[in-house]
Amino acid sequence: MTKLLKILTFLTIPLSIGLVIYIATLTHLVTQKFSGPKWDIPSKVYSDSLHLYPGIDISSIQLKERLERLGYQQTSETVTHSGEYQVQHEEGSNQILWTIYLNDFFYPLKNFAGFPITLDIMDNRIIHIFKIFLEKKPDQEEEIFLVELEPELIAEFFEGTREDRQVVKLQEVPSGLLNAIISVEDARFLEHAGLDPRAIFRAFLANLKAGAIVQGGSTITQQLVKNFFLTQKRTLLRKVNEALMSFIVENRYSKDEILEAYVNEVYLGQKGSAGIYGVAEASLFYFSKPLSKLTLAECAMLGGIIRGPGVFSPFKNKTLALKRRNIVLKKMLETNTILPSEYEQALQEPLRAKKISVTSNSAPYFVDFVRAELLEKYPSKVLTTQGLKIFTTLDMSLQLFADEALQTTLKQLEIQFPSLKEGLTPGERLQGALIAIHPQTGFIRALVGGRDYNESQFNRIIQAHRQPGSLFKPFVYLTAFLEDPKYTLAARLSNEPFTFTYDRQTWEPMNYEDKEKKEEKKEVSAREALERSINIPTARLATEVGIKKLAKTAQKLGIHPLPAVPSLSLGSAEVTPLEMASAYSVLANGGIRAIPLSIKQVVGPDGGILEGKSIEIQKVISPEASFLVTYALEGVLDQGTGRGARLFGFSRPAAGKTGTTNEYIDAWFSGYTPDLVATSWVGFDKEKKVGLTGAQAALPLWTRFMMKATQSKPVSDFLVPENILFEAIDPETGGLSTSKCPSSFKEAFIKGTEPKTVCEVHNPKKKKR
Amino acid sequence: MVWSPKESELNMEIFFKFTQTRYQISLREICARARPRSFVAPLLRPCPLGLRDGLREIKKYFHVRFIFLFILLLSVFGCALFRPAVSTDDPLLNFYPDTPPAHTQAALKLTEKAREELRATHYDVATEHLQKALMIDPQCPFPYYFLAVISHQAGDFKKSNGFLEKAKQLSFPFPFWRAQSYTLSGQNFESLGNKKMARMEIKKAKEIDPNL
Repeated sequence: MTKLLKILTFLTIPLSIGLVIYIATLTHLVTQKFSGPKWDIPSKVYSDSLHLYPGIDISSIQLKERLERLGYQQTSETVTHSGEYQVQHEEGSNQILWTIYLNDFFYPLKNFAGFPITLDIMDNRIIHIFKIFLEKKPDQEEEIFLVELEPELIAEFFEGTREDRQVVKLQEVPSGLLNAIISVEDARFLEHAGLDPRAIFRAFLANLKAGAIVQGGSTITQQLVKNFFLTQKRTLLRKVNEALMSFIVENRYSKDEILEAYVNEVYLGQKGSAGIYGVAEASLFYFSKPLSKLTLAECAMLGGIIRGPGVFSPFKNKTLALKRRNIVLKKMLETNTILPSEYEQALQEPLRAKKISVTSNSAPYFVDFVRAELLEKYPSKVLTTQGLKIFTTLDMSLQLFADEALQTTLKQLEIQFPSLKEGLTPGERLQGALIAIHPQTGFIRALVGGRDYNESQFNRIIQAHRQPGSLFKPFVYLTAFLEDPKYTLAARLSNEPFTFTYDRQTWEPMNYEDKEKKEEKKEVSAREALERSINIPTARLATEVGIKKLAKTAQKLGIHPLPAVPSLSLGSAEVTPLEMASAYSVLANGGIRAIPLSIKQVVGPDGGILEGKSIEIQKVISPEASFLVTYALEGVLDQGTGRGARLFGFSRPAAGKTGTTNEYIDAWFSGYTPDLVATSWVGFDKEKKVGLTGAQAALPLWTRFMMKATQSKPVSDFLVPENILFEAIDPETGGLSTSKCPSSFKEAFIKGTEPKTVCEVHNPKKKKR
Repeated sequence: MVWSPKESELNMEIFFKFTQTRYQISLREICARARPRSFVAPLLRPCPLGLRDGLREIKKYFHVRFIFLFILLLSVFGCALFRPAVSTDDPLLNFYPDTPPAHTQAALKLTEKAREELRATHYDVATEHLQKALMIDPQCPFPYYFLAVISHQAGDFKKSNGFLEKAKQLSFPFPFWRAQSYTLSGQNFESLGNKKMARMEIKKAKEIDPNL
């Protein structure tokens, strides 16, 4: 016996020491978790917001689709809650009334509290916008001039599994919700010390009676500990750990701290691949409103979901969810946390179920671009754990148009030219890319870097360095107009082959083979050379003006330094589509360059702006020279190589240029209206012949996109600078036209460079006007 | 002098309005006090009251006609000479001769909001409004001008001039604002130490708006 006691004593000492060490380890684990950041919060990337104002066409901005993407629910009843909208047709007229209850949104510089608005729409155009006062004066409305629809969440940066969570302080959680949670999850939360023997005994009896596990006896603290530190496995060791850690937590932290951690940690549902964690995120997910605006019934619903988000979610089973909500309300009444009158009122409130709007990354290449830019300043860990909010310049509608245009165009090309598909693996498929920039601000509005992101993450907009071919030609003419007043759009340029010698090398540019075998003119105007994309006169002009000057102009337009070789004039130096779009933006913006921007603001977890990027513009070339090029490039669309756009039905004032590289490897088109620039590229990743020109492959992509993208914008023409004048000239000679000339057209000139003599061919005697 | 009934009606209206406000008397009293003579008589013929008795009484007060003419002339010259000068605080919409298109109106309203924020030195909010205005109507010159003002006040004179270049391009229909843009550009160049450019810009501003 004594021996046994001795053995026991001998064993107790090391066991006690072991237990102490074990508890110390658990304590360390608990304190570490509680003292540091408790959760990894993904950073969220948002698109730009949308402005609604009288005059805008709602079909072109795809208002309905946008509202759906933002999670707004259409209702046939009167709109009473944020996130709802109603469409009413006026009988016998084209008038439609859209009532939208705007969601709350935390913008970088303001917290926007949602309110209901009415859009008075006639023939798809917004005529008036009224703010409605539902609560105070239902009949009163106030006309407003502008409404901002919140940005769309386009992606999240996270590591491992995606957990959507918004961390809130306990004071921010409505008491109704806290009471609901405590009532149903752990009624004696304020009394026990981590474990509730009464609850365990009650659960034991219930389970015994049912012959299965139907009730749990876990306290809120136990649930928190389980979620924080342990697995979901039902093992004895886990239960022991859970109990020990619950004691430690209760011992070290106040009830407020525990409850705050719980309301932020608790799992409340699933949105696609993302889990919904914490009551704040769940409030937005289920009710599209912040916690502060939850009604008692909604608080009860959230509290009820905790027990089984997969079962009691109002998205899945409205009846079951309603039943559960009412049970919670009953419990709250029983625990005296609500008054009978409040209970009765909450019971009457209908349960508003809505559809789940799942965020799909519709702009993966753009998001990659943004991420790469952010990684220059923020470590990857910060992006995936700190819950930053990144507000970007992306226009979600334009992005969807761009993606749709790309998919349609590539499919059509493959149908039209089956050789493009033959003998290729999926990874080698025909590719395309498109970028759209707002020239006045430099905001990147749409970016599609390839056909299928899952197939290839190679972002052709920023990573593909390709020869631009004729897309580069406008810069030759621009340099000429900037450098020497003798060069005008009417200037005659020789189209005869020539050899240029430099650095003991010779260069002999050739024109593309004319399929129609038209006899080539010996001399053409600068306009004709640009409109028809003729190589020889362009190359000759570049050698006359100076290749170094050409390279310098390209650099001023935002292209990286290029080697000053003569073939540069025909686009032999490799550039990215982003660079080309940026350079064409300068032409669209009257010689003023706006630095391309993808990020507007980065907001920290506390709501403070970590980084704000504002527009930066700089005059880099004269507006007159820029206008001359634009004026000629308008001709490219109207009667030159880009006329396919007009045949396709794109009729707005626009300018652009096709680009085809040697051996038909790359097909390009870059073009612009006064307010939007887009560059499209079609080709193979490997240097494989597409066999199509820019007009055949890239122009349809550009046109498809631009037709939709500019639909909602007012038609405007390019701004004519002060020092530009127009003269009627004879296209054959470039001289001033008279009534004797068989044809004439108005050409633009920088003041002082206009022709002084009349056309000599058709007016042999007249030398001067 | 050719008699034109319409003119006379117009004159009478002006006459009544001026005299009424000046002397704080009723229309009936004016008609009663006026004394028509020779060329004044036809002027008084279409008296809206049509009171023969009143017209007779008008003859007694012949001097009222001179007072009226004096006030009229004074008002015309006064308006011309002491017309309140156009100011940068004037509503931007007033600078448009006709109602601008809807998107321009929306951009102008945002610019006005930005001006309010600027006055309250809330530069970040003002910049946000102006950038939004630019997205709505990129051809409107005013957001560029006020973005330039913000950059100028922040001491970023080069950036300010970038915005002003665009403001100058677009403000051709608004000489006052074009001149303002050149003036601010001149100040920027002055601050950047480029005296020559500063002088040129100020000169250009004065060419556009000699009242500067």
